[in-house]
Amino acid sequence: MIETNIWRHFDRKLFLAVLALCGIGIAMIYSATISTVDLADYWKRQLLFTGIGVVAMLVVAAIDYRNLELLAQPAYIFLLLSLVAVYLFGTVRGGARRWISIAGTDVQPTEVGKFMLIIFLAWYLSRFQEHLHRMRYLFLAMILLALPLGLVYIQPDLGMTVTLAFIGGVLILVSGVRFWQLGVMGGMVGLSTPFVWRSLEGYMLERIQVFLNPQANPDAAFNVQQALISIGAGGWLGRGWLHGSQNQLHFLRVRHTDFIFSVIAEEMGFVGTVIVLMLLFYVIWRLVRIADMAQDQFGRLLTVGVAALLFFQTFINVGMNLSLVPVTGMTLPFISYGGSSLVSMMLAVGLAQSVAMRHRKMDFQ
Amino acid sequence: MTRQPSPARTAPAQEPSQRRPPAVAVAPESARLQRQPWRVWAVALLLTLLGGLLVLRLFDMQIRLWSFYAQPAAQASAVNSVDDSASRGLIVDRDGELMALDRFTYQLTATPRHIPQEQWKPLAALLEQVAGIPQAQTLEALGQNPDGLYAVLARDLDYAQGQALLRMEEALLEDQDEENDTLVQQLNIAPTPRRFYPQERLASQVLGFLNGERRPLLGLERYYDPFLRSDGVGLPRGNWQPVDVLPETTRRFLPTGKGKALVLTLDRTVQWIIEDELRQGVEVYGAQGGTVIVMDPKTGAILGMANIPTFDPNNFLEEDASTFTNPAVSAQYEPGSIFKIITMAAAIDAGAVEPTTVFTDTGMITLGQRTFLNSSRVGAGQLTVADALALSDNVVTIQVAETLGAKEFYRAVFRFGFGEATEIDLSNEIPGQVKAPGDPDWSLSDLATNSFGQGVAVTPIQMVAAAAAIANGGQLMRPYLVDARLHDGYILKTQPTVVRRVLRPEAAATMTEMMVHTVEKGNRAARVNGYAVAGKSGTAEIATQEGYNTRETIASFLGFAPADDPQFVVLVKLDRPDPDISPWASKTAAPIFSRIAYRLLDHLNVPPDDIRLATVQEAADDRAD
Repeated sequence: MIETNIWRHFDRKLFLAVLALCGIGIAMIYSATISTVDLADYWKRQLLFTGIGVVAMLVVAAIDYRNLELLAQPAYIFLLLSLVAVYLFGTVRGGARRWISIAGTDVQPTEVGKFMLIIFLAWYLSRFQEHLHRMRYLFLAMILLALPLGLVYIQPDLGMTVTLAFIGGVLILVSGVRFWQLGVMGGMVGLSTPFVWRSLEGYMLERIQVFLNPQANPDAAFNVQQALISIGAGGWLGRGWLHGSQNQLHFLRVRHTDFIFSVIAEEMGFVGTVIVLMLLFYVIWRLVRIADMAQDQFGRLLTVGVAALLFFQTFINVGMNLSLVPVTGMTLPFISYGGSSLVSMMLAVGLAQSVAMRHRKMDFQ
Repeated sequence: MTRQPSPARTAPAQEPSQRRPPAVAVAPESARLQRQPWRVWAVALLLTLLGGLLVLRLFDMQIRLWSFYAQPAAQASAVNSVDDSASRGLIVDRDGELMALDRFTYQLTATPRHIPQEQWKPLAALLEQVAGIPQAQTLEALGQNPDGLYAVLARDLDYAQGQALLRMEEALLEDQDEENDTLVQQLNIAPTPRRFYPQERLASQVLGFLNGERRPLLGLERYYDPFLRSDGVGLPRGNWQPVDVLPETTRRFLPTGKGKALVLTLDRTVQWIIEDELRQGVEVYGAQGGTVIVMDPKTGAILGMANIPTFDPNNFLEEDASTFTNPAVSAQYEPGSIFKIITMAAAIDAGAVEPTTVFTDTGMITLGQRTFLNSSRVGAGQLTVADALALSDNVVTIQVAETLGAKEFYRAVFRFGFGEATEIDLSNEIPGQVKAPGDPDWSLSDLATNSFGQGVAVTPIQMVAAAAAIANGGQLMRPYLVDARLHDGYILKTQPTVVRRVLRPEAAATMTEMMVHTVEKGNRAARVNGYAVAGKSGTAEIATQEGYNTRETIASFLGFAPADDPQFVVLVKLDRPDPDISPWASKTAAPIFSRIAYRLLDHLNVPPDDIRLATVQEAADDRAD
């Protein structure tokens, strides 16, 4: 009885949309990698990751999200500690200290850290919701957000910093900030921009400048240019699956991860990309809907955090493919190749499902 | 249910709700927890706006600017459509001799950015030791852009070098040194196709060639590029036949399974004969260049097309780029007296004159306030039309054109295909130029000049096609070079195309007789022992800025053989023969024609007229019995 009951409000449409995106992802990874000997089995791996992800999602959905409130503070402390550990003992790769070696494997704490931060902020903002109109609670929220942000920023990892800032900002916005408070915060961000710009690490500046002035660094601009050509060549219906020359002839680099959107655009055309975008935004919309229905503020903020993360990654990844934003190395949710990013996204959706399944305060069944 | 103790002073506003359904009523949430729907809607609006931004951008790029991006993408695929299994289609002549094919060489590239500088020297030494790539070359290629993602260390490595490099990579991967593994990952040894033309200079302007980026330039390579390239289009709809219908010799180098090929109408031997004779002719008569075209008048199939100067497509970089275009289709000239066959054919077809019609040649004639003379500057007196053609009499030809009338004359000129491209399957064909009544700068005197082939610009291929119409009983055929296209085991034969009927069959026969008479009486140097030959010579003056110059001429001869059943039409054209040897076509182009026709008749196994006609007669007698 209870077993059947808890799945009653499982959001099937959300689940199906996510599965559809995973399916498109596998098909496009197949197209992007099948002509490269070393990568030819990646689509099978992604299929496996999808399976793992679905199981993980169902498990998380079955667990009551409210238990996570218990984890909020330990998670935050763990996040800070691991970021400090990265700062002190981390391994340097490509000029950035982002990884920490655990039992021989390099782990990037910020991948899990995104979710830890969502849980913690959701807890904090719901716990002190009554007091948020007082500036000091709001400031405390911002300081709690700024600590991990600063640690990620000095790694340096601009993409992750902006991601975390966006998620934090959305959570604070949705949790009930007053307009005047928003004004104050906006003003502060505006004032700090020049300082941030000046302190941006060279490589970040380089990436941003490639974006602003592609002629300056032809090598780095190459992939952005190839992505634009791929997308532009798509037309209405694309050049057909497995028939995008930009993709198949390896003009596009990292085509199965960060630039898979360009592959979709080239082979499936405008219609294909709009369908993918609609699916992604549908998923985000379902999440917002769950947030709207959630029975408590913690669940609502949790779901909003997941939606914000999903939206941000989608927007930045697609924007980067379309040359609207600088290249930051962010994956397209559910579609880009990669076990950890796919499974963590599925876990996030599982969290939202958990909220959805428990949105009724009373359930007389 | 437990809760973490609050870190802040304030107590929680409400008790946590029950977790398990069926749940009992929970404490009402505080006013602050009341929904604030506008916030959700604000988020939804933001999402829609930002999503709309992405869609707009996509629309802009994929739909509005599609053509802007599609071209580089197509070029990318054109440049890079290469691997072992799918190379560019090959080209063979009518007997299956290879004319163009892909050969593979190895290319070694690297990612300089990811190779530490201290490894450069050992790497260069290793490459020299393994594949004989000079150390300096490797270091220079790496050093040119040390931060680059792509550098070509060596191209055109032969099979042995490529295999040696591949074995080296394998050995490096198998040892336990991880540094070597990363090094190997930065090297790429790929087979790269190179277009190869085994016949070298032979028919080079007909074939065209691929440049260093494998982009097709000119000729068949260019015209048939959409078909030949490995990612190109397949065969058009039509009567596909299995490749076995081709004779075995023609098939010997063609791909049996997957793959593409063009089978030409061109005959390598014919091509060799005409290039040989043209080369000798240009040398003997001190000409600057020349063109010879051989066409089958019954189908329009081109058997040979040669020009001088020519080039070697395998070393096009060292050749004079002005020789790359094919003057047989891409250059226009004033044909001179060979054009009189058009004037005469038109007049006879219209019934304006008969071969026996007599005109009076006083040595000069005035038309449209311009006075015209014969090239010999003397008057021949009473002349029949047939003799006027044989002696290439300008004054009578002008009278014939006048009798025919401007309207009919130009109708005939256009019917013969002048002023429009023949649509032969070669790139860069030009249409020539014909001024006609109605054009602002046409005047009546142009009728006179045009009647003997001055003041009109034609291409050699137009001239050949027009003469072939006479040889073919009055039907103009579209000239073509590709007899069949092969794709994955099936061929599509080119069907000869009738462009239009330009002469009545009787007029064509009469015209042929007149051209035989011309060779017998006027162009005796063009005769071929044992065969009746039809033809006409022409010496055109080249228009320069100072006007026409009698020392700069184009000497040409246009003829076909055997006259009763023409197997080929030949145009011989010499550019600026040395006037001190002879500026006259009848002394230069005509003998070249004769030698070519003799060798062609031999090569094509055409028996001499008496034997052939006797055989025909016997066969007719047999049927009568």
